Amino acid sequence: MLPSIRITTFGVIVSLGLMVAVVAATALSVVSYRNAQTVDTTWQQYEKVAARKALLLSQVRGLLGYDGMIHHFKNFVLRQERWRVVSVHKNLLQLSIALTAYQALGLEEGEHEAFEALVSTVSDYKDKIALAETLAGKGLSAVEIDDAVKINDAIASQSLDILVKQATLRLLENTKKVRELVSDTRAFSTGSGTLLVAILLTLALTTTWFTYWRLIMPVQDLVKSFRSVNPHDPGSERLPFDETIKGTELGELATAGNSFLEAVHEHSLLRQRAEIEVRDREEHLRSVVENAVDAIININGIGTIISYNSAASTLFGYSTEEVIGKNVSMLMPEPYHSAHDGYLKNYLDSGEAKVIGTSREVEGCRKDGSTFPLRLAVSKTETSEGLSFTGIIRDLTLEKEAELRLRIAKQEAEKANQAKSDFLASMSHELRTPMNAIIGFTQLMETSPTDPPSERQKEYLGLVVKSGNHLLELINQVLDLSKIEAGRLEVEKTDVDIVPLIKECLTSLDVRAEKMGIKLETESDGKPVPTIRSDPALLRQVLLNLVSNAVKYNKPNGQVVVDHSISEQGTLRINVHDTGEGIREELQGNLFSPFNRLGREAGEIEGTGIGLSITKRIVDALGGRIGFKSIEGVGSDFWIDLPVVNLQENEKARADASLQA
Amino acid sequence: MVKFGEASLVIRAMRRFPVFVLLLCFFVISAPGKGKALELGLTPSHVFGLWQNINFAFLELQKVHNPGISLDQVRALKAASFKGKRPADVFQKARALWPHLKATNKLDAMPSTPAWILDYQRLEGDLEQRTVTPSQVFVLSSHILNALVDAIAKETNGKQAISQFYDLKDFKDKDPSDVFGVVDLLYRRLKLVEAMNVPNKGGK
Repeated sequence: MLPSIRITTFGVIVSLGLMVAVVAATALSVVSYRNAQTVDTTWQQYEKVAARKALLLSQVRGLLGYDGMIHHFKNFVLRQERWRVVSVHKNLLQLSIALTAYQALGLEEGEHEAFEALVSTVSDYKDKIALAETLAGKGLSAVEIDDAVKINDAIASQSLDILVKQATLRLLENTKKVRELVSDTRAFSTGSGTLLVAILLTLALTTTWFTYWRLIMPVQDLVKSFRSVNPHDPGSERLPFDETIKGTELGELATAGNSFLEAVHEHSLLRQRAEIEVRDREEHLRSVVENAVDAIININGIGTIISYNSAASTLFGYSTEEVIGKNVSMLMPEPYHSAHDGYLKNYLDSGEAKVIGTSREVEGCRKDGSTFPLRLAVSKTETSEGLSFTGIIRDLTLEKEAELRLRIAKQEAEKANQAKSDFLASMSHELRTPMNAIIGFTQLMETSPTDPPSERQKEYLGLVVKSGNHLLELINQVLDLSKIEAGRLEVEKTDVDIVPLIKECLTSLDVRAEKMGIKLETESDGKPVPTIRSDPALLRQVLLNLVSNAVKYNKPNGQVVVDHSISEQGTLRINVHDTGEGIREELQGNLFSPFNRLGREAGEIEGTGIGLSITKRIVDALGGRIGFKSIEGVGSDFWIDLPVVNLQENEKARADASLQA
Repeated sequence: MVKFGEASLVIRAMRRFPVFVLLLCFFVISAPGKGKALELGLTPSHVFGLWQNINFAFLELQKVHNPGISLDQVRALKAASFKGKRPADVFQKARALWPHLKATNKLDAMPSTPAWILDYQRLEGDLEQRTVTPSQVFVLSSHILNALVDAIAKETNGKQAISQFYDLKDFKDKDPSDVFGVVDLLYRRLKLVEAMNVPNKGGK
C-alpha cells in the first residue's frame, strides 16, 4: 500500500520534477549544442588547414613540376634561354610564398623533415639559378653550366609525396576524432535524453496514478457518498475515510463533510424534536382552546373566521363548519354587525386600536337571532402567513343576572341599614331621657334629707344607680357605634397639642386608678411633639378608652404608662402600656370586633365589648391606624398612629428626641 | 569532446545565472562571422625585405633608362620614419605609387594575381577582404618587383643578371611603419626622377 500524500505536497514534488526536467532538457540542449559546435569547429579547423595545405602542396608541385620552375631552370641551363631566369625567379618567389604559407598553417608530426627538404631544394634552386646566370654571363657552355648546377629533384618529389601522405593520414585521424566526438555526443544525448524521458515518464505515470487513485477515485467516492445522503435523514450516511486519503486535503474535506453531516444530523434531530414539541404544543393548545370554557375565535386580517372552538359553538349556536371561512360580523348584532368591517379597516389603516389589548363588554348574536352580553378580549398576532386576531369571549348572561340580583339585595340592605340607623338615632333621645330620670331621681332618693332611706334601701338604690349608669354607658356606646355606622360621625379637625390631652385623660382617670392601686404615668413631658391636625374630642375619647381599658384590665398595684414618639413612617405614635394579664394569642384576632369581651363576659369587670370597636372606627375616621402587642401574663401595649401636619417638623422632632435620648 | 564534468559546470552555471547563459547562447548562435583576410604567414619584415629589392631594382632601371644622369641624389634619399601605420596604409601607398611608376618607367600592366592565391583566399570564405594583411601587401609588392625586373630584362635584352633582385635579405622585427617608410622612399625617389625631367631614352 502506497502511503497517502497531500495534494499540496504532490504538487510541489511534480513542480520540482518538472523544473528538474526543464533544467535537464536545457542542459542537454546546451551540452549537445556545445558538442555539435565543438565537432563543427574541430572539423572546420581541420578542413581549413587540410584544404589549404592540399592547395599549397598542389601549387608547389605545379610550380616545381612540368612548365614550372625546374622546367624553366633546365631550359635556361641547357638552351641558354635567358628570359627563363625571370620565370624561374617568379616561380621561386611564388614557391617561397607557398612554403611560408604552408609553414604558417603549422607543421604536423611527420611533416617537418619533408618540409625542410622541400625548402632546402627550393633554396638550392635559388642559389643555382644565380650561379647559372653568373656562369652563363661568363660564357660557359651549357654542359659546363649543367654540371655546375645539378640538383637532385627526387628529394623534392619524395618530400611532396610524404607531405601528401601525411595529409591523408591527418584526414583519417581527424575523421576518427570527429567520429569519436559525434559518438560521445550521441552517447551523452542518448543518456541524458533517456534520463529526461525517464524523469518525464515517471512524472507522467506518477501524476496519472495520483490523479486517478488519489484524486479522481476518492473524489468520485465523496461525490457518490454525498449523492447517497438522504436529504430527509442527512445523519444516516458518512463519507468514506480510508487510509489513502488520511492526512490529505481530501481527508480533511471528508472530515469536514462528516462534521457537517453530523451537525446537520444533530440539527435534524433538534428540528424533529422541535417539530414534535410544536405539534405537542399545538395539540395541547388546541385541546386547551377546544376545551376552554370561554369561546375562542380566530380571524384573519380581513375578518374571516379561521378557527372556532367548541365553547364558541355552544355559545353562538353555530357549528364549526357553519362559520369557518365566513365573516366574524355574523356573530354580532346591529350596529356592530354593519360597523365591524369598518372598524377593522380603520385599525389596519391607522393602527389605532379600540378593543385590541383590552377587554370590553359588547353584545353577541346567536344563531337564533337572540342577543346576549359578553366580554370580549382581542389580541393581535403577526405571523409569516399574515395578520390574525384572536378573540376570547365570555358569556356574561349569568354574571349580569347575578349582578342585578346583588344590586337589588344591596339596595334592600342599604334601605334596612338606613332604617336601623334612623331607628337608633331617633331612639337616642328616647332612651337617654328616661335613664337620666331614673338615675337622677334614684340619687335624689339616696340623698334626701327629709326622707332618708334605710340602709337596706340605700343598698338597693345604690344598685339601681350603678345599673343605671352601666345601662346608660351601654346605650351611649351603642348609639355612638350606630352613629358611626350610619355615617354620621362628624370630624372637626384642628391643631391639637397631644401632651395636655394625654395629661387630661390621665387626670380624669386618676381617681379610678387610685382605687385599684394602679399608677398612671406619662413620659411625654418635656419631649418635643409635632403638631397634628385632628379632632380633639374624638382623640380624647380614643385615649380615654385605651387608658380606661389599661386601668380596668390591669393587675392590682399595676402600672399604666402613656408615651408618644415619631414612628418610622413619620407619624405620631401614642403608646398606652399596661402591666395587666395580657391577651391570649388565639383571642387577639377578634379584639376589635363589637360585643366581644374575649371571655370576660362573666367576670367582675364591667364592660360592653364595643369600646375598642368604636375606638378603631374613630381612629380610622381620623386617618390613623390602631394596633397592639400583647404578651399573656406580662401586659399589653396599644398604639395609635396619627398623621402629622408637617413632615419636616416631624423629622426635626425625631432628631431632637434622639438627641435628648 | 565535452565531458560530463563540463556539462555539470554548464548546468551549475545555468542554475546560478540562467538568464545570462541563455543570452550568451543566443549571441553565440546568432553572432555573424567576421570577414577573413588573406593570410599566408608573411610578415612586415618579409615585405620590408621585398621593398628593399624593389628600391634596388628601381635604381637599376633608372640607370638603364637614363644612363646619362647621376643617381647619387636619388640614391641619397633615405627612408623617413613613420609611426602608427597599418598594413592597409602600406597597401594604399603601394597602389597609389603604381600608376606613377608605370607611367614614368613605361611598365607593362601589373601582372595578375596567381590563381592559386585567389583560390587560397577563397578558402577563407571572403574575397572582399575587410582587413589588409602583410601577406596581401607582399603579393602586391611582388607584382611591382616582377614588373620592374621584367622592364630591366627587356631593356637589357637579358644581358643583366636579375637574380640579384630576387635575393631577399632576412630582416627582423619590422613593422608596417617601417615598410611604409621604404614605400614612401620609392615614391619620393620617383618624384625626384620625374622632377629631373629627364627625357625618356627609349622606353615604350
